[in-house]
Amino acid sequence: MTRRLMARLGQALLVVIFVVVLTFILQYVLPGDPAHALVPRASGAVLERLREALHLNDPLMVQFARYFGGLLRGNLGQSYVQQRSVVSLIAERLPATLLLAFAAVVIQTLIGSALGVAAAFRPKVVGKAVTSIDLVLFSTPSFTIGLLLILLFGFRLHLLPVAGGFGLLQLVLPAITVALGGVPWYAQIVREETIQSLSSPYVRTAIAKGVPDRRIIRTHVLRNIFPPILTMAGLDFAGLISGVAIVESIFGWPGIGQLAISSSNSEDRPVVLGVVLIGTVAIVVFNLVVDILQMYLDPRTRQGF
Amino acid sequence: MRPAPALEDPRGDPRIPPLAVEDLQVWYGDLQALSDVTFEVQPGKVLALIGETGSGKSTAALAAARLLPPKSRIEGHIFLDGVDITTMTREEVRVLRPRLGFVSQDAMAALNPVLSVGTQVAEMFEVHLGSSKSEALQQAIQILRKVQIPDPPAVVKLYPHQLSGGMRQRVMIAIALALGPRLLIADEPTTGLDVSVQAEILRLAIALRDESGAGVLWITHDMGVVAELADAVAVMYAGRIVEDGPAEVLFDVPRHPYTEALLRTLYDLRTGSRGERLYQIAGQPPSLQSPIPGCPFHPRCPRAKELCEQMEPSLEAMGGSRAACHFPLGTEVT
Amino acid sequence: MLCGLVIFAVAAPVFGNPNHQDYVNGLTANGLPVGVGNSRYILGTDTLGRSMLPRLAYGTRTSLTVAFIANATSLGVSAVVALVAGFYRRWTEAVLMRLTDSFLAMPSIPTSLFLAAFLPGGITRVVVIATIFFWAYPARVFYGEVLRLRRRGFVESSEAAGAQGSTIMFRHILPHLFPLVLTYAPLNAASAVLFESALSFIGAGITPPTASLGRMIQENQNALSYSPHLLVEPTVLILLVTMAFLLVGDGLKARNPDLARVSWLTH
Repeated sequence: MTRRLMARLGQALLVVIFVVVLTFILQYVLPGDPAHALVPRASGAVLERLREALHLNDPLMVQFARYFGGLLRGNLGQSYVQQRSVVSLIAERLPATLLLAFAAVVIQTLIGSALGVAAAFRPKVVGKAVTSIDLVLFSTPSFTIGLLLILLFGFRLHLLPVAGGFGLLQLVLPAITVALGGVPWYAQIVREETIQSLSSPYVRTAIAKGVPDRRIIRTHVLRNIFPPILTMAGLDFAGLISGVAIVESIFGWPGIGQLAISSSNSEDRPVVLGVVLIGTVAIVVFNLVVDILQMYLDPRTRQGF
Repeated sequence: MRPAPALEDPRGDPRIPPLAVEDLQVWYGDLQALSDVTFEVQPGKVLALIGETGSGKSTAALAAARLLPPKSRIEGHIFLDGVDITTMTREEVRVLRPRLGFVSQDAMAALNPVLSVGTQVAEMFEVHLGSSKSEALQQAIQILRKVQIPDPPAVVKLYPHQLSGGMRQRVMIAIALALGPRLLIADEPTTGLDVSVQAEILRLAIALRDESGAGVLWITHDMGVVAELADAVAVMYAGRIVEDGPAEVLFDVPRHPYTEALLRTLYDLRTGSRGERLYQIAGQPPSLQSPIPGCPFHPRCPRAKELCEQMEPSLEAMGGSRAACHFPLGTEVT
Repeated sequence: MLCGLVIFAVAAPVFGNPNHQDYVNGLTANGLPVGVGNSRYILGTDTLGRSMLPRLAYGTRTSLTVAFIANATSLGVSAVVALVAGFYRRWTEAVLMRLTDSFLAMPSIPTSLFLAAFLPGGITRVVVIATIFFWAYPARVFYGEVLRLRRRGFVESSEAAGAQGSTIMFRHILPHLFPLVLTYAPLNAASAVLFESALSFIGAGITPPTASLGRMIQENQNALSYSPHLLVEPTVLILLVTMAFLLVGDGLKARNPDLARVSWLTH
């Protein structure tokens, strides 16, 4: 068991390192000059001095070593635009994003699971309806949903979204927007898992035992579909940390996604890169955690621990 | 232990068979799986349903237990303790379940992998007797002891995958017998187990049958099992019963060629002299998609004649048993 | 229903033929865009007075173009990767799979922003970025399939016939992989459409004056409260195009039931 763990850890590390290398390379392979981006009006000698200061003329390996070393120490660079370290900027906004992602995942898991189970039980009527809803929801981009919600609710109820800022009321709409985007996915998977569960031999045994349907769902089916749902939710959460950027931007929710977008617009590349890396690490970490959790939850593999 | 509520003591009336099936037909979609199946299980006796894979024996068992998948269709009648359950709703049947114990084939699949053994057995008592969790657990331990599982208090904490195949099957039996049913349906419970374990389970089954007085419907493809266990036998082929009767009669004087073939596989295995090939019935049983006209066995039957291709024989009494054959054994074949 | 939608999606470019992106002022007295149902501009106009109808048509055409190209490239890359990885095993396999994982781990939005800064705007940019993100997931799926195909003995029999490495790969395994690729294609295309609209929305995709449905929504953001049609119309189109692809995918799946493993499991 520990060997598998180590292997997984190794894999994860490799992936992260790879992404770091990749992003670093991309900075230099693709057109665009960091110094120029920093001070667009600079040219000639000033530009040269700037490049010196940023160590841009050093050989690639040296630059990379510096970069990597900095990363290991937790230094993601300085913001070009604001006079602060990237890390502090991100740290400031991370909780907001985490909160939004979490709320969204909770909502979409609940709604999606409910829909999925319902669809599994009444495939003819509810099932078709859910499928249609899923189709529509999936095909609608999240920012569209967000804007629609703003239009509808911003002018009717007190949930003023674009006041921006960080509060429970302001959380509602963005969370729902993100959640709606994810519901079809959950609904479908939950539905399939439930159907599989229902036709499995042990459910038949339960029916033969005379266990009432309600209890079958509660005790047998739900417990068996719980791990996959948990896995999905975990991975989703990680993905959402970066994925909610657009929604954050629409609703003025002060998270790292919004930070990334505004930084991108002001050509503040280190910040954007920082967000990229954080997002990647989050995804990799969660993948790892979820894998381990899965191994633990299934009593069949628990013994290795 | 609280007495079972609202269940009339079934052993009261020995005249009512625990299970009676009449003219049962089952379709999976458009394919007919069972035709005109009729049989009865007597209290305290074992009826063995034997046939090859695809003969419809499992279907018959599932149908009798109202456990067929939703896409299937049933016609005919199923009487549980004299009550017609054929058209009852699932909930109505559910209430009657304590009278019917069902043991399925693969215990590993039939038990929920993420729940402990104890929980699953105790569930019977919680649901039907209203026992509390702790009471139910005690009751579970008791019944596990009855099926000869060593150290029940330890076993209840284990998970299905931690038990051996034989133990798992005993758990299944325990679940089935937990509420003292009058009828036990066992769908190939010994298939896939080691031979020695098979023997143990069989012995257990015999002991339990004697003790509880329940009627048993035992599905199998193994004639050896039938020889050990059965009081009455029904031979199935292509979704029909081709011969049935008391076990001694069938073994002594088989009428249907298929029955005789099955018996030959048994005896060859038993006497198996070196160098002689084991007897195998040539050919394959028909599939659901392509039913065979006339007598379904005729392509493989050494006694088949033209008539067999044209007209399907019906069950007729001959001697102490019934057989569906135009030219049963013991009659002249020209 | 499937066919109807496919035809619809294909026909959209037909609308675009009248190249009427003129800036004729279709504004009301207050300087606001015209609403739906106006006699001159059936679907209204946007904040710059441009008629919506042709813009929508062009936008659809953009989306479709992106979808097809990005689809082709990403599937091409993923198929190649899957084949190579599945065939050459050992080191190649390990490296390629880690690579795939890495790409899968990269968050799409911030990374797109990052990359967008380096590339000149327009369709190329969108296609490149889309390819970068969309090749990894199908690569994994195809890889699994390649492994499965291997086990079915094609490799052994063609090796026995004396064929060489790359020949086996392309001549023999690829044809069997093809149905799966084809089934996955519509789903990929649908995702591409959504992706393009998202990118354009945040400014990392298509640049004006080329019409893009996502871009249109973004440009007219401020006027939305007064002219909801500016949001609704592009949205409906995005919706329809995406759904069209998905339904085509469903149709394909219905024909080949064993390929139903592929479902809406992206993003």
